[in-house]
Amino acid sequence: MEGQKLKKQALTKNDGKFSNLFWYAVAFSAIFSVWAVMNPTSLTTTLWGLIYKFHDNFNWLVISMPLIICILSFALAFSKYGQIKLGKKDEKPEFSTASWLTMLFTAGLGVGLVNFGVAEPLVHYLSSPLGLPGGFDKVTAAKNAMALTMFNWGIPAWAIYTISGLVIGYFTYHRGAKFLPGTPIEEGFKDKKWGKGLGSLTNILAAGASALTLAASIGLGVFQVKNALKAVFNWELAGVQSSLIILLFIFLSYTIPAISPINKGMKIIGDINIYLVIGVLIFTFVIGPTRFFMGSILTTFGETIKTIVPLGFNVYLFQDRGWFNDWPLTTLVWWVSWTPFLGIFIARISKGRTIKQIVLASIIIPTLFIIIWFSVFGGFGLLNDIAGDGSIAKYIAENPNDVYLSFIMVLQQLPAFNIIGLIFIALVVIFLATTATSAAISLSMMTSNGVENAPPYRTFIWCIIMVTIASANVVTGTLNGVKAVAVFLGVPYMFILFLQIAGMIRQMRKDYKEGAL
Amino acid sequence: MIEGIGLDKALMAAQSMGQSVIEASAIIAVIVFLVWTVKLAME
Repeated sequence: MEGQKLKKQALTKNDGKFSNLFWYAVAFSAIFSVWAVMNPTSLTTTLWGLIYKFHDNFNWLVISMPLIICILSFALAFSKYGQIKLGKKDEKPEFSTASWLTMLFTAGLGVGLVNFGVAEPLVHYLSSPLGLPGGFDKVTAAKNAMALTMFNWGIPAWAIYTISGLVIGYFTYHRGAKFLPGTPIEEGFKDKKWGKGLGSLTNILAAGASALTLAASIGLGVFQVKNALKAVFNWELAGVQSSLIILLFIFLSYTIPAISPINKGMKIIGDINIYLVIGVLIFTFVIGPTRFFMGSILTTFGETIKTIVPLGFNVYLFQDRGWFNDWPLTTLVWWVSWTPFLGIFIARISKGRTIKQIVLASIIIPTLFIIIWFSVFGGFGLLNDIAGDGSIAKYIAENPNDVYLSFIMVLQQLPAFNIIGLIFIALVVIFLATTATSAAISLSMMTSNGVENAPPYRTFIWCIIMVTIASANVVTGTLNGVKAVAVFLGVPYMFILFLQIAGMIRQMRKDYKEGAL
Repeated sequence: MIEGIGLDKALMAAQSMGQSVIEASAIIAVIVFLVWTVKLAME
């Protein structure tokens, strides 16, 4: 009782002032943001040079990492540790299973589902060694393209997210530690001299990376909304003013839910998001070539199961390095760069659930949905090339750095494009809002000394910081710099993730021996 | 002059060897890190 009181007092005291981490994280984000605005070419060239160098030397590690994490996650789920609950033994889950899955899914996927829903399979079809350049016929190349897409978006991505949530959740809800990315290292390696220092460094890196990653996504979102408005209404919105107005809308759409209580704001926006996603999916499924979609879903499901292991151990020796660097390797590192805030967020919403439940639900269910999503939209794009006029593939081949419009091109082929186009714009904004909301909540928790419910004003400050970085880059047209930083930070964070996992397993084994489980 | 005595080729070879050694060292360091991480987890 006394301990509880002391803990409460400590948290209240910490809530009133900014932790050092807040200032370090702001300084960290500011340095890279200023560099991105002042000299974007130097930043982009330097960082992409380093990322490619890393890919060249460590592709064997990056490509096999998600499968190793996946095997480890399932091994944990079905071991004696699988029944460990994140929380007290009699703790009930804070959110219903449907709401939990919705929040997990919408925060984790983000706007990429729309940006790459059509484009990604077509890129692999047009430029991968398993696609047309590899000498495969169109049908085999299409099947391989779907398998490659599933490798980038399916089980491997969700295994990375899931483990990042588990490592935080185990220490916070099971052992009562702080909601900080450095906690698994600090607590798991308490007896090591370097544990505390590395834990603090992890916190700074994680907070800075989260702010920059989200700022890049918000900035990109502005251009996506502009593109969508042009495609749907034929509005030509040139100039900075229109960009700033769109940015203001995006800012409001994530700030309002972020400063509301999590069971209201984030839950409501997550629900709206999933309704829109399912609405667009069902509309396309019913109005489009339904028979083809059913075949596409089944084939993709089969290809996913058949190819996940071989693809996880394929570094395309003697083949095109450009595609391998730009797509599979960069995508996997990109997922890792999202884990600093997604790990905190997944842990926060998974209170009261067992490790087994979390692993099974958060890896399998989103993957099944992704199979359906890409089979419908990506399948439509491939069908357009194999049996149609090939306009979508042609557009992607001619605009390899601006593939986002391909999703609208699919919707344009359906009837009632004016209505579905409007829903599409709403979907882009809501997707961005959901991800930015979860990031602002996580950042606020991190910089409030790791409390479960951070004060709303601090969340608001993070919302302002993210939009400020995004607006600086939108105004100066220097988004590539921040984007490069976001991917680059995924590289060191990958090694941190390994240490976090080791810290969790170490602590679990210790707790088991001491009878604390 | 340098070309005449083949020093340029020797420099290039040394540079290429140096780069190979740096890259190999980085790869070995990462392998050691991974083994160490597993050892830490199993402690």
